[in-house]
Amino acid sequence: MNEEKKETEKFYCVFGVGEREFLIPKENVIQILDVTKIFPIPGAPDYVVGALPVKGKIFPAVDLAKVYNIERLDYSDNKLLVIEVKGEKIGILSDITPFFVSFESDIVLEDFIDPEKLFEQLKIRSKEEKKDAK
Amino acid sequence: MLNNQETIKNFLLEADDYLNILIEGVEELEIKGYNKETLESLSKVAYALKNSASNFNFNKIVTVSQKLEELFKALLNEEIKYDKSFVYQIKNEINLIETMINEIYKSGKENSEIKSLIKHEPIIFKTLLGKDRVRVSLSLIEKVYDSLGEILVQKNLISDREKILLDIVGEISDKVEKLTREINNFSNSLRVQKEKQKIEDILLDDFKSFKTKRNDENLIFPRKIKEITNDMKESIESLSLFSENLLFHLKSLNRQIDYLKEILVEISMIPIGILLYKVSEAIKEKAKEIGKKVEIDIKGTEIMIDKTIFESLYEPIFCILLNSIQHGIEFPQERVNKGKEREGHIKIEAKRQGNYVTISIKDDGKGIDAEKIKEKAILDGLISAEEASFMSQEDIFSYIFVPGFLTSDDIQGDNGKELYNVKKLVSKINGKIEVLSELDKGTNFIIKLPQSLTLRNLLVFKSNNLDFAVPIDYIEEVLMVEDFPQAFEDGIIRYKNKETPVRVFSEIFLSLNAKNPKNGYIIVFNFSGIRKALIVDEILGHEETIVHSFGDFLKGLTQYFGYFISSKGTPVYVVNPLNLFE
Repeated sequence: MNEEKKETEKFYCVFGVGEREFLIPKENVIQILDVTKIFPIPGAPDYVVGALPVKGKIFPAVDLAKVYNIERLDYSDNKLLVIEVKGEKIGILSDITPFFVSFESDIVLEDFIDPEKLFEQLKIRSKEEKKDAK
Repeated sequence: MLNNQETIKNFLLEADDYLNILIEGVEELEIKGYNKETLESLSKVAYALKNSASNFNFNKIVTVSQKLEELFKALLNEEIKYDKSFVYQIKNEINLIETMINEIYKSGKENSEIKSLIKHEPIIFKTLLGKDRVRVSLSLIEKVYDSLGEILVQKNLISDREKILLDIVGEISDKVEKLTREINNFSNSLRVQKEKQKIEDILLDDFKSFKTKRNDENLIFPRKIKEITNDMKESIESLSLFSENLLFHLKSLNRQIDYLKEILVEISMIPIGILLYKVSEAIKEKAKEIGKKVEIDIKGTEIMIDKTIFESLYEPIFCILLNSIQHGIEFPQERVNKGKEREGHIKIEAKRQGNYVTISIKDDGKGIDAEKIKEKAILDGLISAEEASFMSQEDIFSYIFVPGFLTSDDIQGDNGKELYNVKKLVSKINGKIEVLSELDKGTNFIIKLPQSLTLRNLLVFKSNNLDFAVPIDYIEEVLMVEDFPQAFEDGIIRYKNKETPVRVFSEIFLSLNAKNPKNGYIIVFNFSGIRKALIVDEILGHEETIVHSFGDFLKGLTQYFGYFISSKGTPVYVVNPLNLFE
């Protein structure tokens, strides 16, 4: 019984930005960190809040509130949801402690975030690329 | 002509690489089946191998690789229908080349006979004989680099703590010294007191027993303390001995890490000869097409360079050589009229200078007329006539790299865009290019490159409390703002008869309203002869480290080469000064 159930269910991670909640596939989630030291990256767009050094390397942290224009009232419970997309780590600021849920796989979800699309959308473009896009 | 031991060694290294590519290609062909991409690269490699073997007169290898090249081309153009049996045939020929290369390794000659074998049975590649080499995937090397990067961070961290440890030990021994002195003084004064007491005691005999008891206690206490301090002193001595020992071991560990670093850098390096031969072959063909004859002499083929640099070096060298045969070297008749040999000569020489590699490309053609460039630069408003009279030849020639500068056919290289492009390509791999020339004698281009792009020499500086770094390769000198009080307001410094434009780092980089940092520093860059300067708040020092490049997400930040993690554990961004001034 249980095994059958697993096949039709999909697991997601829920995180919060302001009053809104988003879902992201569980497979992409690597870890959840407390927001400790994030170092600013001068010249990066405002939604990139900075870089986190881990094991001699850095990965960027983004704030979706700036991407989706969400107003933020309470800063108290800030966590960093670390996901892996296209072989790279990215941190996403969450105003709630992220948790996992499961849904039937045929349900169409609102506020679902496709990590790859997010990556492509938020990836920093060089001046030349911006010109080409125009 | 090229048959000395050293160059044969280079040929063998080259041939080894070609063989590996051939083997990989055939394996790919076997797996994927007929596909033009693989066949194209196979035919290119076979061509390259043929050329390189012909340079050394290894005629049998030439014959076999030519046969292979023809076969690949025929398959590519669909003149022959591809079927699997070709794979066996190709493998056979590759094995034959390999055998001959092994023979050259051993005896310097190719001994095997070429037999046209067509066997329809699977052939397994022989293991490479007589060569203590393995193929390593680049991703593995990258992993080693990453871990070395981490080791370097830790190493720097420990080196920083080293001083702290020494300070602490020094302080403790100082304090113990003081304590001992105090105690000595104290017990001395007690002894004096006791002496006095003795005299008194003789006088006042009645209370003798009581007082002696008290005095004994008074004496035992300092003695005890003295013993403890002596113990402490001994402990401190062994502690400082221990820390000295530790530092000694740390030092030798550091040396080993540095050594490891050097070896690692070397692992991903390729001899430059492979590239130089390839380019010069292509240029000789081109020269023939336009009716000129050139001899190309190549030296320093054994110099090793970074794989990334290697890959980006073909185009700029090709452009320079093309410029030479198109505009530098005259037509045979013209040369004879000038009293030169009919054949033009180009000398390519690679040299290693410390952490740099220089490639000098020298022709004996027309040369560049410095006076004409001066006139043009004045006409274009790039310099004033007064400045021009002060300028060195070197500085004048550097104007040929300015985009759109060369328009007149009188000056060598009517295609100014091409030379500008060369400069851009060289800059991309963090190199510099200089040009020297003498009218009617020839032109000499000198490319100076860092040997490795991964391990960089950096100058670390501070601006608005953030740490940045910049590759030392571009820096000409560092000046003090206090010596140039007008730099901030004028946006220019006058120094050594030159005017250098100055900008404030925090203003252009952090978009902040710049304050005049009176105690700041001016970093003067030299980009192939063009000087630009940057005002920063503080210089933190020099660092040799592995620079990580940004991942795909941050790659668009082209103002940076990448970053490294400082000993404090914070990221330091490595600024690309070329993009800074654009």
